[in-house]
Amino acid sequence: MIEINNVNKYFHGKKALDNIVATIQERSIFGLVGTNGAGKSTLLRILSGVLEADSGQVLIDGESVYENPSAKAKLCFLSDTAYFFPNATAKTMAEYYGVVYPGFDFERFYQLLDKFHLERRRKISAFSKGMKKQISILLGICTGTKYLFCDETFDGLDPVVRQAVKRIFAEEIQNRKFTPVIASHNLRELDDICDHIGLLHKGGILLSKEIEDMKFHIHKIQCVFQDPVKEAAVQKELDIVRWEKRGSLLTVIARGTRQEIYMCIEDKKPIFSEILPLSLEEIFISEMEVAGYGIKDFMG
Amino acid sequence: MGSKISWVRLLKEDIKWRSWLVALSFLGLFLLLPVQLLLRLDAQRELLALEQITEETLREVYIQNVSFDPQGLPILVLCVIAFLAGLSGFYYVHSTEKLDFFHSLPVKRGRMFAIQFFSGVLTAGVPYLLSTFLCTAIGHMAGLARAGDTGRIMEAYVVHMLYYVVFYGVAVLGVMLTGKLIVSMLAFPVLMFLGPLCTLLKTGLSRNFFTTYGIDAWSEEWGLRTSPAGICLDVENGMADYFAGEGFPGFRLLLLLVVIAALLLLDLYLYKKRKTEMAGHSIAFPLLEIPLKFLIGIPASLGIGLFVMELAKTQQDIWFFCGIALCAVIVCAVLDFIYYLDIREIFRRKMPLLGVLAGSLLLGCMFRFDWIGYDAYLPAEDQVVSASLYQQELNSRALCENGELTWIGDQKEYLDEHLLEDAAPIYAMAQSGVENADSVHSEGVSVDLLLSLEDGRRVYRTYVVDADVYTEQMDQLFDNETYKESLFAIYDMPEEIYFGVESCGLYGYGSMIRMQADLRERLLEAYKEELKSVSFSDISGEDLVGMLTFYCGESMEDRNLMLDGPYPVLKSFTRTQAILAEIGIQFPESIDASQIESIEVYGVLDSTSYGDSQDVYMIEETYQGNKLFTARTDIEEIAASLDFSKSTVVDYSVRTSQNKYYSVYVSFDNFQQFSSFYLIEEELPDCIRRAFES
Repeated sequence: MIEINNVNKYFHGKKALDNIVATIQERSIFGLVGTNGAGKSTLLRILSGVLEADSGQVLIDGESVYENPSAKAKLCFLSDTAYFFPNATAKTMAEYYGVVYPGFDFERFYQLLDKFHLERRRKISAFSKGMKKQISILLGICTGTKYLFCDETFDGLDPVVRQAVKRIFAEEIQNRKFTPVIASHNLRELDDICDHIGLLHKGGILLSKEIEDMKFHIHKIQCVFQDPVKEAAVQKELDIVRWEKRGSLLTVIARGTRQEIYMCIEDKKPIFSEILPLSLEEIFISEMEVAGYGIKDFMG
Repeated sequence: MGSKISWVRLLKEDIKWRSWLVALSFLGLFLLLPVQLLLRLDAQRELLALEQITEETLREVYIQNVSFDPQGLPILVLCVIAFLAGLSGFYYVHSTEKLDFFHSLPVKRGRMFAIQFFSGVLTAGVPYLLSTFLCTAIGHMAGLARAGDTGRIMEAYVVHMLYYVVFYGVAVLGVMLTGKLIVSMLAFPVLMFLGPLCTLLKTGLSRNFFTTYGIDAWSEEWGLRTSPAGICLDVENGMADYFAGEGFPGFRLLLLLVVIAALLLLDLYLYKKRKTEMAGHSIAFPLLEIPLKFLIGIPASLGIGLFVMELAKTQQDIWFFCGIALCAVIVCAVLDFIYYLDIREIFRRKMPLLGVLAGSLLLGCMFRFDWIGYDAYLPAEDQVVSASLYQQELNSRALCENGELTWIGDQKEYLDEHLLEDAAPIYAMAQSGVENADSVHSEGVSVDLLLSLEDGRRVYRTYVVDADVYTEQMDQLFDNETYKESLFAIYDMPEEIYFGVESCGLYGYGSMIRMQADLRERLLEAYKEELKSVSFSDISGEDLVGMLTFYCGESMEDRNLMLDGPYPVLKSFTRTQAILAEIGIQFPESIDASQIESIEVYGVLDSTSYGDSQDVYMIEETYQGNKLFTARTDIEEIAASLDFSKSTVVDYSVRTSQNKYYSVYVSFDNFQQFSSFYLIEEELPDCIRRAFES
């Protein structure tokens, strides 16, 4: 488990992280979301021991991470711009990783390279940006560390590769104690992979929730009422997050269980009603508006 | 899990990724050691074949290449490799991307530093060792190696690798203090040479503004040691001297080790303390920005001010202070640009600029107006336990050291080794010198002296002493047997070393005459006896009739031939003159005008000073030209005014007002022999006076 306790970080007098408190459970995929400059990379660097928090504490399985090889041996950090040695190949990078991560699984690495059609002896500098990211991810996975911190790692990957990586993550979680933490500014990218989402904004954590938990208590319904009185009654009875009417079609996002909301609507005998799946982005926007933040102001 | 990471494997990985540096290191050292040795030996062998050099010289060439040589190239090459190793090994701290990688690894930073550092040492250490072995093999094959060389060669290797660690530590320090590659590259020469440059600056300012400034003991002893490179050079000189028979330079080696330890600790400390987010910033520790401005800005401003004043040649203060002010502004602007890489940032921080300006001007005034009282300082006489004196013309002669003739190495060394307990005459000269210190145009005799105080301090000064005070005190000094014997090596040298004697009199120099043992013994015995009773006034006065110079060694072809002299011969040296007459050396007391072919007289180089005070002046120099005298009457008149005390050979005579001296060149015997004299204006014969007035 990763515990982030009241972490603050300043850069040249400006606050980059503001009293962050969060917990990342094992064997879950944690998504760290935020706009550019929200503090995602900074937080990941602190979790990885690259930066030292100005105050607060980060514990990896109960151990402080900064300058602690024992704690750092449990994690691998994949920066948004991966570094490779000059003239390195996938093979030579793996050899280096094998020295610093004694548990590095060379066999699995080469298998994955073949699967992703990446040549092990070709210079990495000759690869495209996306291919470099792939190598970086594969190196990270094969270190065998318990935690893998990915900073905007899925950017630059094509949809097929992205899905393949997500499947590999799922396999790793199933087969061993593996907890990836994925930072991204793209909610859609994290939608079908993350179990838990943390939203950073201006250095502070606005939200940290299980996705299932969020989805369980908020739903989107489209319906049509002939009688405006019944329509008004629905509006009154439900805990409305968003109310949008286009012509006759009413789109409502409301809090409550699926059953509660459905029963309330059906009771009013609508001409038409249907519960629609909510995307992560829609959940977020709704939650942020409740929190008093104009999502359109900071979600680009 | 961290304990499972192998040091050796990490080291191997690091060297693997810097194999280009290993290759470059080996190439550089290979070319400059074994290849260069082969070329030099080949060239020297040709000279050996022509008997221009001996086998010993050849061996010297070999041993210098593999041992200690202050002018050796290996130190320079090691410095370059260390610079590259430092930058390439630690440059990653300037890159966020690289730091994300390295600092997220499960390796403690101290360990990472140690591995990087050690790998950098190996990149030069192994190629250097291989090159040294190759040189040794060349020496063996050439038959130049001897038993015992191995120890010396390995000592040189180890010491040179210590220099490498110093240069490497400085390069790493530059990288740690900065956040950009180009700034790190600038930091290296600043760290290496700021100390000696400041020392040079101090010397330059003192020399320019303190009229009594002469020997700077501190600069001479410690100036070089203000730089890491200087400390290495100091050790190299010490070790070369050690193998030439001098004492072991223990203190210098200890200083080197202390510097290494300090550099390593500082580098490690900065590596650990350095914030990752400072990657990409010019200075990694913002607190250093202002101190650096002062450290660099003030010396640079003073140096430029001095330079501008030198260029102006008018000695006006305005050039000095304007140069300081202008440079302070420019340096602060340049540093601001380096810090922020934004032209809009220069001059935004006015307080540090004002601080540098004020500090520079303050120090400038301190030197210019002698606020510390350097020139006026004279310790109380009862504080002085001993003193020594050096006068350029009198002391420009060989010394006897350990039974061998040697030239004075440097004035400081002479003063340190020839202290006299009876310091009164020298102190009196110092008092005269202090009185004359106010004016740069004092007329007198320039002396360097040392006053050794009871608290251990040593005061070195250069004074212009009044001529009469100088003569009076020199007469007193000549009563001091210790002083006289130290001045004239003849008292301590073994007699057998002298094989010839040459005279100089009114008719110029004679030829060298070989002395038989018996004559030598009698001559030296008589001369030493007669010399003992003379005073300084005697040897510079009208009783002086000639000079003797003794040839020391085996023969004229002796490579170690030395000349001891000149020694004065007075009219009263009757016994000496009688013995010299046996071998045809005579000292007439006047010139026979009939033997003179012509006399050429050169006029004075006249200088006129301008300015409101003697401290602010400009000199205009004019030359009066020369006149040739061939008329018999003129020649006779001039010849009658010449005596040996006026000869230019007697360079220790007290001559003030040098710009008023006329040079007289006398040609004898169909222009086969020459003699030259000085005549002051008051002594000029009428014919010369008329000639120059017309």
